[in-house]
Parts: sequence; C-alpha cells; structure tokens
Amino acid sequence: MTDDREDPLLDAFLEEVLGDVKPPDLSARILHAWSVRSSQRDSRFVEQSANGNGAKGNGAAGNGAAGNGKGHPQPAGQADNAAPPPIAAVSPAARHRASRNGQASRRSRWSRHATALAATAAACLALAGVVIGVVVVQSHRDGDAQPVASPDGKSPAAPKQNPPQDRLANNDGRKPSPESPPDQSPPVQSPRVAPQPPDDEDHRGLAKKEGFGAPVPFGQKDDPPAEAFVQDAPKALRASPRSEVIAFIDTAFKQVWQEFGVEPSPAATDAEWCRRTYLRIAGRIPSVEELNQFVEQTDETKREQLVNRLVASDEFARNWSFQFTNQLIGRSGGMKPGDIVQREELEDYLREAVHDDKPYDELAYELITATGSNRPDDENYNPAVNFLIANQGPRATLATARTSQVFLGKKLQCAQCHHHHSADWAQNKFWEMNAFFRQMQVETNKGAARIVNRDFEGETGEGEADVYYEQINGEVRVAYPAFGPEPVSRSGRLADANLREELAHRITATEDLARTQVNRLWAHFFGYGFTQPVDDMGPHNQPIHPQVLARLSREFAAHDYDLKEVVRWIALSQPFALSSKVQAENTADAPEYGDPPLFARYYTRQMQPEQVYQSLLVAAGAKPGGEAGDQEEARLAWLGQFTRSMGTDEGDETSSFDGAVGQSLVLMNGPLTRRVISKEDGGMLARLSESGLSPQDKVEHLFLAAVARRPNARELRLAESLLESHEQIEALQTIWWALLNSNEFILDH
Amino acid sequence: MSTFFLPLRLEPSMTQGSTPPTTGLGPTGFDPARLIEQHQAGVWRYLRVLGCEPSLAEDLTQETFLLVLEKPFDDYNPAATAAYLRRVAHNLFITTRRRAGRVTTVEDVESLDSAWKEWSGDDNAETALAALRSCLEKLTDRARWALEMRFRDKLPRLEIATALEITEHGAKNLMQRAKQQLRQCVEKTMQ
Repeated sequence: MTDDREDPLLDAFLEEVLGDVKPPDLSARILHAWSVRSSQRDSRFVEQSANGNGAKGNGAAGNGAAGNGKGHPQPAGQADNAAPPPIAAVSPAARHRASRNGQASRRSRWSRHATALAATAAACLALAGVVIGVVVVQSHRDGDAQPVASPDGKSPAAPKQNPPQDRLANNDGRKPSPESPPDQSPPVQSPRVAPQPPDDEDHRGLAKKEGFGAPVPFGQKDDPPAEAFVQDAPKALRASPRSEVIAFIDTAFKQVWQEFGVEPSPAATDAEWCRRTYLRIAGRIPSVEELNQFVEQTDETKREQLVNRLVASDEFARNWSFQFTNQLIGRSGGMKPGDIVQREELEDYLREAVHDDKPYDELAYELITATGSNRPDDENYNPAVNFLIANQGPRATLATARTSQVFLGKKLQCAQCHHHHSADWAQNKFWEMNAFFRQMQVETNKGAARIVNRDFEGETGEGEADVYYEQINGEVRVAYPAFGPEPVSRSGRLADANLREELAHRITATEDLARTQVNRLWAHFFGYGFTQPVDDMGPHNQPIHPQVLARLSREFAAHDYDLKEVVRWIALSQPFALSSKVQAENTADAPEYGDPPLFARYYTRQMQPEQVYQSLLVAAGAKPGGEAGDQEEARLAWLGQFTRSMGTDEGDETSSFDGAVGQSLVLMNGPLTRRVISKEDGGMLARLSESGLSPQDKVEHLFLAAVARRPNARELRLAESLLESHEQIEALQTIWWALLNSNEFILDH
Repeated sequence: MSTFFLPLRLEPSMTQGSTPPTTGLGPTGFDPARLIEQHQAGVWRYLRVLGCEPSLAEDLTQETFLLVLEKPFDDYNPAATAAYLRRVAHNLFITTRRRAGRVTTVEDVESLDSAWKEWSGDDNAETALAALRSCLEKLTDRARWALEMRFRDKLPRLEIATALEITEHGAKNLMQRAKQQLRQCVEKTMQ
C-alpha cells in the first residue's frame, strides 16, 4: 500500500490496475490447509473419545498454535512390536486420523504412541495425493520402535546423556536406526507437519521458501539456499594506528566522491565544527566560553585535543549512556510511573561502563546474560538486568527481537510470524534464537524485578529446550537453540548449558556485533549510516560504502571494541569536518531524497530531544554536566513527554519530537524554556544585561550561545531596533527566545 | 514496520455478526473448490481495501475460507455467500489488528465496507476494475503519468514532483484531482 491512502478503495484498485498487484489463485493452498485442519480436528475428537480424559495440551503448550505438530508417521510395519492400540474401539479411518494427533500422543505412553505411528502410515497413504512428503526419522530405544525425531524434527526420545554429536551422526542429521537405515526409509507424506531441517541444515536456515502450497522436504536439490543469518567472526586484523584509520576514511571517501562525480563541500568553520563535535560527543552545544576558547586556539592539533578531551569527559559517558539506553529499552522504557524497569539504574550502569572503557563485546555479553535484581538495595543487585526486564515479552519474543536488533543489526521480529521475505530469513531463525532465552525467568516483587535462570523443560516439558511455532499455513514446527555454525546443546537444563551465555558467546564472536555498532556510531555522527535504517542490515539492505564499514568494523574489533577510538576516527575524519552547505557540485549527494549518502557534506538534522535538553541547560548558563538527582528526574520528565510506547510486539515507539505542534509549543512556552529565558536575578540574561559589555557584544554573546556564530548585519540592525524601543533586558530576552526557537538552534549543522 | 502476520486460530467469535446462508443447496451439493474459486478474488480485494498488504490479504483470505469451511455451509447464492465471506474476513481483519496492538477505527472500516459494496457488484469488482482502466485512458497524460509513478513505480511524492517539475504539494494536488476524476468516472460508468 502507498503511504498516504487518501482513498483506500481507489488506491487499492489503482495498485491492482497500475501496479499489477493482482489477487493470487489460492485454491490449492486453501484446500490443502483445509484438509490438514480437518484431519487435525477429527483426530483430536477421536483421541479424546479414546482416552476418555481429553487430549491434554494442544500443540505447543501455550504458544497459540493451531496445529500440534506431533504426528508420527512411519513406514508400515515399523510398529509391529508396539503395545496394543488404545484406540481400537474406533473406526479404522478415525484411527488413522487419530494417529496424526500431536500433543496428546506426545504425552501418552510409548505403547500408544507406537500404535499411533502405525496408523499414521495408513493415513498418509490415503492422503498421499493431497500432500507433500515429510521425511521420517526414526530410531529405537530399549528395543521399542520409538521416534528419535518426529517429522517436525523433534527428538523426544534422545537419551539426555547422549552428546549432541550423536544426533549429528549422518550428514543429513538423522541418527541411523538399526531397523530402518535412513537411506532406506521411504519418505512418508504428512499433510500436517512439515519436517524440520536436519541438524546440519538448521544453521543455514530453511532451505525453502515458506510460502504456501505443498511443502517440500528439506534438502532437495532445488531448494534455494537461505541467506546466512550472521556474518563470520571478524577476521584477525592488526590494530592500525589512529592516523592510519582516519587517513583510510578520508581516502576512501575521496574515491567515492570521484566515482560519483561530486565535489565535497568546503570545510566547516572552527565554530561550526566545534558545535557539532560537542553535540555528537558530549550531547550538548558548547558554552560561549568553550566555543571562544576553541576558536581562538591556534594549535594545529586543537581538533584532536578537543575530541580527546571530550571522549575522556563524564559528559561523553553520560551522553552515550543515554544513547545506549535508548537503543536497549527505547525512549519510553522505564518512563511510566511504577514501571518495574529502572531506567536511571540502567543509565548509571552504562555510564560507568563507558567511563571505564569497558569493551563493547563485554558490555553486550553482560547485558545478554544478566541475572539478579534491579533494586539497588538487593544483595544480588545488577542494573544490567533492566535490558531484558524491559524486553521480556510473552515467550521472550521481545527479548529475542531486541537482542537481534541491537547487537546484530537485524530486525528479526518479522520472522517471528513468517518467513522474512526480503531478507530470506526463515521463521526458524527467530525461534532458534528465542530458545536461548527460555531459561530466563523474570520475577517481580514490590515494584522491583529480578532475572533468574531456571531449567527450561521445553514447551513439551520433556527437558529439551524445544519451542514450537506456527507457520502461517497452520503447520507447527519445532525449534531448538541454534545460532551460527557450532551446534548447541538441546538440553534446557542449566546443569547442561546456560543458554543465554551460549548465545552471548556466539553473538560476541560474530562480525555483526562490530558492524552493527560501527554503523550505528557512523549514523550518530552523520545522520545516515551505511544502511538505512541502521538496525535492519542483511541481504535485503546492503551497506553503501561497504569497504569503509568493513574496515572500521574490523578495526573496532582489533582495538578491543573500544568505542572511544571509533568516535575519534569519525570525529577527526574529513567528512565530519565538511560544511553542511550544499554546493552545486554535490547536489547529487541527497540522502534526504532517498539517494545513498555520499558524505560529501555534513547533513543538517534536528537535534535529539536529549541534546536539546542538555543544550538548553548549557544555554541557560547551567554548569555543563552538573546534574543533581532532582534534575535527573526533571530531565526524564521533560523527555518523557515526547515519546510513547505503541505496545506492539516489536516494542515500537512514537515520538512527537518531530517538529510538530507539540514540540513547538513545548519549546516556545514550556517550563524549561521559561526558565532558560528568565530575566530573574542570577539568570544568564540578568548577568549578561548587567555586564559591562556593549549592547552589540551582548547580542553577539546570545548568538554565539545559541547558534555558535555572530549575528550578520541584518540581524544586528533588527537587534538594535529592539534595543532602542524596549528596555535592554526585555529586548535581550526577546532576541534570546527567538534564537532558541529558531531552526538554526535546533538543527545540528 | 515490516509486514506482520499473527498466527490465527479459528475462533467462533470471528464469525459473529455473520449468518451463513442456510437454504439452497444442501451439504451434499456444496463444492469447496468452486466456492473458493468463485469468491477468493473478491475477499482478497476487499481485504486490500481495508488496508491489508498483499501478503496479509492472502493470509486472511485463506483464513476466511478455512473458518467458513469449518461449519456446515450451504451456498445459497453468490451475493449472500459473498456477504458472509466478507463479514468473516472483516472480523478476521479486526482481530488481526487487535492482536498486533493496532487501533482500528470501526467507522472507517464500516465506511470502506459500504464503499466496497457499491463497487464490487456481483463479480468481485471486475466491472469496476474494467471501468477504472477505461477511465484512466481519459486522464491527461500528465495526471496518468503521476498515478503510474505512484502506483506502478511506487515512487514517493517528492520524486514524482521532481519528475513533473512541480512542487510536492503540486504533485499531491494533481494526484488528488486525478483520483477524484477517476472515482466520478467509474461511478458514472457503473450506473
């Protein structure tokens, strides 16, 4: 759909007529799904009749699945040794359908289970013309015919003590059965449950599109290869000297500009560069004193000195704690009264981590694996838990999505419900990652929360970390913890594996961790990252200037994930030092219009709300960075008025800090603005008015404080006329208010 | 946000407000394949009009038929069956939106529902589509080009404005006027 549907009816029709978005023929798909559901419904009824107590559990426990995914079709004759069938009283046809039942039979005794398997084979033959085949994997335990892996890939009967390698005995991931070697077992067709990929294919993702229509067994030659979900671990690279990395960036972009036939804008003035550097690194504009001090400095290395001073400051740590907190829990996380998420505690934790130069991979590890309470008084206090407490969601789905988005730069949440069509990430990728979070339990108590790890018995309650998900065609599948090429223990028991630690190890070993953070840092400095958006990387969204992203990512890893070093590289690079003025020679560099950014000029953009708040404080003469506890509360309250959580599965937020009326009113008449422009004694305006400066110098001071430049002749004339017609302090107040409400103030340029 | 689809379970509540046709052909005369073939395009288009992306429209079309086929169902006549299917699709759409945490203004949906009835006729809106094709030919080249860029090439309004060498506001006005002409033309043709 188009983004502005003024006339939904006509728009939809125009999309069909002009855009060729025509109704598909869904007949086969619907009939197939109908036959599947009909057989499921019938089998449930028969099973309940036979058991007399009803089928316990339906499908994936508590997962909202429509199907149950636990049919156990098996070749005829394999269940001869099984116990007498408990459903003998029902008709043969119904018994066949009953054998397709899932959850109930999963929880029943093995004897009944085996009988169901035998009946399934007959049912499959009867429906062979309707459905596409499923590979049945079987094994035996204690001499009985038991499925090691059901058609959906689950292996309920695998002895716990068996190492994972046992299940990877064959290339196709199937354990050989003494009675029925896999290569001799005919594939059995099931209308309901599609097979899981063998273990060695799990890590490559589903080999087929998860579209509708007849399911295709995995591993067929015509299956398109799924895109790799994570990049390999970063290649070893010697940590290059700072000057070398900066020179690389400059050279790379000179080549880019040549290739694209654009000329970079001239260099920004010292004052412009100083303002943007303070904004990006310290999260606020410079004071007049800081600005003058920098501009008047003649040292050739003054820019490097300023960057070094800023990244070493507490303000850097504070600014980046805000940035990280927003990434981790959004702007609305922990902002509501009574929210169990302790936003300030998380900010403090991140501030300390940044201040102490904690490597980013360590920080990521701590956040993903955090356990403990978020209440400072508690013995096991750990503020890092606020990340996952804020993102727990039902079945840890939000934790999965947010972890992928923040640390891997991949918006995986689409794959929660369906195949990610554009990125070609199969639905199992989401649920395999989700399985890592299922040992995590969030417990709340008197306004606080804590995270503890507990054994996860799987959604079937059988000890393995199995999670079930439903595809959009109604098929239910199972997923186990899997991430990257190395196999993971399927056990959900803590004695066997701490799954979040396993995941954190794997995530911090990927190149994606560094790529994502470098991309995000670059976007922070320039307004555009190498991908747009920055946290939706993947085959569907290839980076612009990949050589720069790759080099910086590897350097970041080689520099022990030192955030401050990346900040230095970017802040001291040529693209960051360019003027924001568009030149005739670089009009082609227009990412505002959807073109790829060439970074041939500095992109003007609105400050973030946090930056506006801090800048207003500085402009009002408050001591930079000197916030007390109550001021922190006031800051959060001010920021909180602009952001609202949308309450979606993806944790989406909406912000009214977008130049709309709400923002304008707050900046024109809000309490903070009133405080900043106050004429009262002790305030900045009063002090300026009472100073011995000339009226022109006073006006210049206001311009420098707000927009880091002196007034031009026209602006001076206007100011003089105001000063002539009003009392001086009132005229200064008017000028000050106008400056703070100007576009130039709120824009980073 | 990316395309979403929440797993749907068949729930009796989804058919609330709709009454399946109960006379005419009995269960033995019921042909699911024919039912789907006859009505799927209408249901899909109706869902698109309500605001579904093509993929979601596909999914909900499937769910609509599955839900309807759950119950004994007599295909009384095409109009009654289409209305029944539309009602089920409507409820599924609302449910999907609710589960996704989206607010749906019922008035808007009802208004679209009413507009759809006028345009869909008894042929799944094929007549209206044919009229639309014909009416498109009557637009000025410039207006048609603007709509083609919008709906065929999926260009943002700004790029359309650039191509037409007018302001973004001008592009918006041009397309609005063109759509108004189209609507009037289609409605006149169908009278």
